[in-house]
Amino acid sequence: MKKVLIYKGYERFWHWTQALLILLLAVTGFEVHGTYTLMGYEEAVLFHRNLAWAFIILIVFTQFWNMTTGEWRQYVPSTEMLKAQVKYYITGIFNNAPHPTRKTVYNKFNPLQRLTYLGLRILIIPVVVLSGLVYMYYVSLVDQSAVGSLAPVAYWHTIGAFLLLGFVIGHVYLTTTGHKPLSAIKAMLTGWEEMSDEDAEIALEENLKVALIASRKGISGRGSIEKEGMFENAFEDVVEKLGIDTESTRLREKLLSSNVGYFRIGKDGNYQEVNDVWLKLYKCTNKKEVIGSHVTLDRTPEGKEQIMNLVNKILAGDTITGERVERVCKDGSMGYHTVSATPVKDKDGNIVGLEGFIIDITPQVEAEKALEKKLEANHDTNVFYEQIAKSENVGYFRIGKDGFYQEVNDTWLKLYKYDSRDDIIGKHYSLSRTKEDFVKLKESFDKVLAGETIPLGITRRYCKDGSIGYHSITMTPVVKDGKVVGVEGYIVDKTDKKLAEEELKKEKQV
Amino acid sequence: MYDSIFVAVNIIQNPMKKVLEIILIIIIPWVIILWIVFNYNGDKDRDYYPSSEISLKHDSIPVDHSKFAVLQKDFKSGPEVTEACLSCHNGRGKEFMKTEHWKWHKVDSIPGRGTFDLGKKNLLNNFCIGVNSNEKLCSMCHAGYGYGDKSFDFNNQNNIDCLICHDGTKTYHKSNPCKGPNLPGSGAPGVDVNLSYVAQHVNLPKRNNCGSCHFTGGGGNNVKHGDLEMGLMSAHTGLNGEVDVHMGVGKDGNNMQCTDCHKTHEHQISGQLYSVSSSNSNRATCEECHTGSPHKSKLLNDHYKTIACQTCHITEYAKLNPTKIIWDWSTAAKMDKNGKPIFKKMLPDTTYTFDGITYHDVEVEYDSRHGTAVLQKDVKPEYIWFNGTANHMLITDKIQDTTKPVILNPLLGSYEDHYNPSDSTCPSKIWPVKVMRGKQPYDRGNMTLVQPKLAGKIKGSHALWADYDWDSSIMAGMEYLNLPYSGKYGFIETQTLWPLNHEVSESKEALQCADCHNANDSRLKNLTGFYLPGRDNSALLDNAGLLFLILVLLGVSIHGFLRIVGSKKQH
Repeated sequence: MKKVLIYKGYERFWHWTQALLILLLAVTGFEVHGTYTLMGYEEAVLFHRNLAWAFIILIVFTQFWNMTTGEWRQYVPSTEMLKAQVKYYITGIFNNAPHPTRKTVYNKFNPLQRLTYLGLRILIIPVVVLSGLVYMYYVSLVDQSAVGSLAPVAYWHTIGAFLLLGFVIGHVYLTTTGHKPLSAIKAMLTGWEEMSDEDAEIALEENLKVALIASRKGISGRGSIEKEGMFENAFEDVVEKLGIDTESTRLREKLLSSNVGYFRIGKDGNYQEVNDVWLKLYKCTNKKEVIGSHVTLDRTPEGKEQIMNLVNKILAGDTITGERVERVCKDGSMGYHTVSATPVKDKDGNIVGLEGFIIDITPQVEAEKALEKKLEANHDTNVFYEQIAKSENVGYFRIGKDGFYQEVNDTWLKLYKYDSRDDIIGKHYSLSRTKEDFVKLKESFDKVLAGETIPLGITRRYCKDGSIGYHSITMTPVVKDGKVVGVEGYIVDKTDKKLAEEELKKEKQV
Repeated sequence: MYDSIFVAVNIIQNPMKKVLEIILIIIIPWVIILWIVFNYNGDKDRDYYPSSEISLKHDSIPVDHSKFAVLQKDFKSGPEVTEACLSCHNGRGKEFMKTEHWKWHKVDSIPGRGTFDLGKKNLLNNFCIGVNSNEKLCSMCHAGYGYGDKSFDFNNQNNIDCLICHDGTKTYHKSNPCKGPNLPGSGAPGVDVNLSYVAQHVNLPKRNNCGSCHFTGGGGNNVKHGDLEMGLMSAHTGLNGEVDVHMGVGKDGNNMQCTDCHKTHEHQISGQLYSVSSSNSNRATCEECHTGSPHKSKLLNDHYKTIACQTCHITEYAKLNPTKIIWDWSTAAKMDKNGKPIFKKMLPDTTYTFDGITYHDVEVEYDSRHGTAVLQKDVKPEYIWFNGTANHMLITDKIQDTTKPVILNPLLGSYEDHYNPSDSTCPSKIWPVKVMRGKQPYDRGNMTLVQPKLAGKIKGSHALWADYDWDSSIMAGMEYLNLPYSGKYGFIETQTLWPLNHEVSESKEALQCADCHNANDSRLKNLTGFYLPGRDNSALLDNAGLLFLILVLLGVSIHGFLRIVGSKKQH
């Protein structure tokens, strides 16, 4: 769990002041309405008026703030992900599905929030405020023959009040849907929102990207990040500007002193500059050891190839963002990070090197591993397998003592790209495997038949169409009348996430 | 901006700094705003502008009438005095003879009906019903001598009773022709009045002059108006403003005279009484002194647009003496078991039910001559929309609906008037009124109200109070007016509406917001057809709103429950 700064000081001031005003307006308003007697009608009316003016002043200030800071863009409605967000609230949230959208300082609201808040701002609040003003100045307006009977004015005001109250209830409830039930409220109080590591990483990265754009444009580019090519262009612009005198740019200084690893590499592929964070992530102690060394130093052969591909791509003028790469630290341990980098140009526009930043994601990867272990810990209950068999994400299989498939679930079929069960039931598990893999698997299979339970970690599979996939596999014996009659287990697809890792391991074994 | 981004990466935070930030950004603004909201109140000041800003100028008579030779005489009759008065005040007789105090009628227009010659002389009410054929009694309050029937000479200026208004001795009074020897004749000075003494001590009219008639209308103190009673002129009550803030006679009372407000020019006294008037003219108003924005509070001044001053400032009437609120003539003319009429018998009842409404803390009187009368003290006014004009139920007008009370002087006006005024100079306002309820005779054949002959002491004169026979009484009254009578009479419920103007309370006693803006017990609960904040709401809207809130609550509860169940399953 990490905390990310989401709300600025003014927003927090505005939000809580507005919350207080709306609540007190409701309390006094419904007394004026005749719903109950609390402080006396006269006091209720006078306080309601004062509160109303405070509310109006706050709205004017906030609109000014929204306009001048560009924060109004947060309210521009977007249909993108709207369906996903609605679907999340209707179904996903009950199954602990991840939030489909993420919160950053530049994109605080999910599409549903955008729509709701826009509705509040252009529909409900104007109705309440305008009808309230007409109510307040009714006598003068009647003199001008500008209004007729008071009843409709009062009714509109009441309708607005009910809608606003309904919003408040829904709003307060939805604050509990954050990372933890109180995360959102804490965030509104302190400005810092608790997030899962993964969300925090993305939020940080988004924040960083938009900051880069803003630093170049001199305006806030909030929300515009979604436009295709926008970021890349802006980033290039930033770097172009930075390229003139990288030493003195504020971005560089900031990167050098931040928890983001910074690096600059010359055209020749040698490190020219790294910051302390970079050193820490690579577990180096002496900067001098690194400066001047080649980018491919201390990498696996495949890693060398991958990194040179990236370096050449950037030196050719491309910008990369958020590439997920592994690193081998000085002590030989593995780490994972995302890398964003961009060419460095001299005054004439010639590319003289590249620079960028890395954000560590090792904890996330470790968390994924922990999850895996947790799944494995549940292997010995039948209920667990029953659930697994129904799962959309986990493939289930059962193989008889003789080595022929007895049962697989839909997910298994999907992962192996089979069309129907008939294609696989009754076939031997050696099907579609390399000899090497089969030998390894048979060893494990025999162990399980002997009564062991084996969490195998990452395994390679050949799918029906010939493509390769990776999954984690766990196998346990099937016991009937005290005798082991077969093997059952589950697989979790890791193709995307574990591809690099697996490749790396294999290289090491070689 | 950079700061926020890169501070974001810095996960270590100072908890003290965090708390300070919350205090600075949230708590302090809350405290400041709450302090301002709950303390700033320019509108709370309910003071009137100081009364020193309102100045009164009293005229005085600069001469000593007791020295005038023309008054050094033993006057035998009223007209003799008048002749002496007019010998100096020439032209005043002709002037006075144009006024309603003399003519008991005036040319007035009823909106939508045209111009009529209307007044006490020909309009009916639900007290003693009408003047015609009863002039001998009624002329006790006529500013003239000898108005006994329709043969009275309204062109003889010597018939003017100057002294009833200008007596400065408080010894002058008129005789009651229904009581005692019938000697002096209608409207004549009482036999014990020393006319010379009174004539030598005349003055401008004071409360006791006006009050001698206006406080006792309807047959007794405060019976008719409810807001005009003898207490207003009794110095010994020592009241300051408890009954009427203007006319208190105690040490701190304002001791204002009637004519301070009812400004008079050439004997034309300002002020309209809507039981006998119908147009919005010649009214005596609060604004003449207090202006149309007398409060410091804008909120209160805004109310002036729709609320008459009287509504908030006359909270109750009949504060000292009870006023008659119900007069049921249908029970009159009944005898006791000996066949004798019953005179003024107080009934033990303290409640009385009339037309489905029960009145509490009332005095109930029975008299064979008058029927049943209900009197009440400290009465709360009823409220109507009123734009300063009135209609009248003339004796020739047909009764349309006998199931509903007939309003004899419907006061005109409505809520719509104030944003779409029928008379832009006087849009309707909410006014407090005394509603006088009663049952009085009507002609079931011709469907009109009738004028019975009531007053009289001689048996066989057809007077109800002598013969106790409704039929002959009505026949005599209608014959007197040359109007048809079918011979079939009945009793019908009637109402008269008396806008209240007197017994103005002290400002601290004025109605408070919640007296009207109240969902349960609003003073205006019977005045419907418009939206009064705090009193009214749309049941449909409120129920829909409540349902909406319940559905939202239910929705989030179910959603929350499912989430908890979902997360338990995952574990």
